[in-house]
Amino acid sequence: MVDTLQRLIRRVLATTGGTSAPFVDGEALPSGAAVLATSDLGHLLRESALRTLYSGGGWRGFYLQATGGGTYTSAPPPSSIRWAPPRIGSACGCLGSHWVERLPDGQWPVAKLTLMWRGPGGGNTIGGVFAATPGGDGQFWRPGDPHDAATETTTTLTRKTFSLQLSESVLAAVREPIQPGSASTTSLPEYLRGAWATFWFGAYNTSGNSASVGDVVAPVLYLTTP
Amino acid sequence: MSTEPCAPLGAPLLFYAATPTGAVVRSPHLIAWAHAANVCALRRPAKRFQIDRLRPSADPYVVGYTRTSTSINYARLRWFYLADTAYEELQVDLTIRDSAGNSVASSATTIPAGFKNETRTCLGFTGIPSEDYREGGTGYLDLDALAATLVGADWSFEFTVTRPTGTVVIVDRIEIQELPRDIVDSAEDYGLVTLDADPGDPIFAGSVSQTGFRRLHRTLDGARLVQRAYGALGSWSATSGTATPTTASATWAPLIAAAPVAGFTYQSIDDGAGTPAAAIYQTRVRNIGATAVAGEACRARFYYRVVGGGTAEFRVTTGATGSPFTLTGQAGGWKWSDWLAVALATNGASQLDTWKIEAQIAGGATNVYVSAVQIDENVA
Repeated sequence: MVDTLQRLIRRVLATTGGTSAPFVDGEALPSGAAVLATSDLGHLLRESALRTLYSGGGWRGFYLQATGGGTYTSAPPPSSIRWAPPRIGSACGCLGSHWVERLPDGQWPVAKLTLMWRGPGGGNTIGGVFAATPGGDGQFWRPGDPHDAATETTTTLTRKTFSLQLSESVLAAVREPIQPGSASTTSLPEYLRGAWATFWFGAYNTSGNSASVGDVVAPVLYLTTP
Repeated sequence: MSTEPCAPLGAPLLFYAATPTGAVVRSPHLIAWAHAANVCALRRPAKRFQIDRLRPSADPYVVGYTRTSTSINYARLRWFYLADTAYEELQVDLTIRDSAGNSVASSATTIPAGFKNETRTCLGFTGIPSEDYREGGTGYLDLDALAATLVGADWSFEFTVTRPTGTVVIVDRIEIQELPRDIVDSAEDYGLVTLDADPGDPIFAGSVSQTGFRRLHRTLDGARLVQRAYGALGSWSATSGTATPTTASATWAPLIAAAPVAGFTYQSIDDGAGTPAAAIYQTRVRNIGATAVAGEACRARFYYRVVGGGTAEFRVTTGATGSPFTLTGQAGGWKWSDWLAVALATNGASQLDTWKIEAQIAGGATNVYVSAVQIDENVA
């Protein structure tokens, strides 16, 4: 682990004509400077691999039941969510396709979806599922892909954080040519490559009634340390 | 100018023990550091945003964007629809504007197909999600080519959604993502090409614009200054109506949106409780300075309109020292507000902090509407 300081030690470069070691030819490059370069880069490698992936306006006023109907009150697998348009009270969507990189110690980060939610009361249950699938093209989840799920019955807005440990099985290698704009060209500047995953969220509400709705508020998807 | 693949084997493992006292530091050390700096500065761009569930509107959906650096050259645009009932049609038109008043219309060759207001036929609903979520358009932006026209630092992506045929299908989402670079180019602002380093050579100082230890630190600084995005909201058209987050309060209040149609699952930036408050967003904050309640310098801006004359004020509340942060005297619109300097704390468990947005009106205004929010790092 080369992030013992957990911060950057920023150093200002000497001017071209300056004599400040260690940035001038012929001056000593002490091991301290080398250690700080390692420390700074170790810290940046970790911090830059962890980031906010998605923030949205949530799903407000949802009432669509799970595929099992109004009696379904369990933490749902993705197949229990009705992936349907919002005009019929659904709460579901893709949180986007994202590139993911390893942390400096070789681990893959954890993807967390944090949000606040509440049910409609009256004995109703809401349930939500957070799923990830390999790839960078907005693929829908596949049976067997990892997911995290929960239910809620309270009418008080409550924070819920879903969590998925990423691994090679949740990531797909992407390599595709970048062809900008709409003009035809004979040369492609470079390739898009890396490890990508696509994330999904869906929720149900046992009420099935637009007068008894649930709310999902302030969803944020981010990467963090395992 | 020289180029090479950008860290084709990924980020290197770095060890303190690689440079012990008494041992000579040579090119292999510089090469390892260079690959690490190149990964951080070039392969981990900081900006991405997504607009969800766009209903057709004559008014655009707007999102704010500030490029990570001049060395991040490409972004990918995609839009999807969720099939609904029967065959219908959608069009998406993109115009990009900058803070200096310049614009690139969808007719420009720099705007990819799929975002030029072409008519896309949307298939009917099957009930099989993997078949019903369908791509409407994918393309890439050459950010350097756009920057030739868009010389202002802060850009604004404006998407107009039209449904020439049908009554129900909507755009499920639009994703815009800066892309990792595949190439290190010594002619660009950041990136250290290592091809010319002989493993037996000592490290040389070089220059910030070319090679050597100075260029390494220049690239490391580029990684420090990526200005990561923490909030990117824009899922409301710039319409002065109840479906757009708004307040008519002269004291601090949440911005509340209502369902566009009864029974429609909608989006807002209030918490929807009986007496609504601002929605509390939580995220992990990058630690650049140090883990502290003073946190990281960030900035926020709002795409807004004040109705009835007068002005609006915006307030961002976080866990950092100095919170809440207040922006006053914003009038007119639709337009982007001034930037508001804010901070996000890094001392929370797992470096988590929260932010929420409130507004109030003054001077005779009757309402303020906000259709987009941009919160980025502002590391100096």
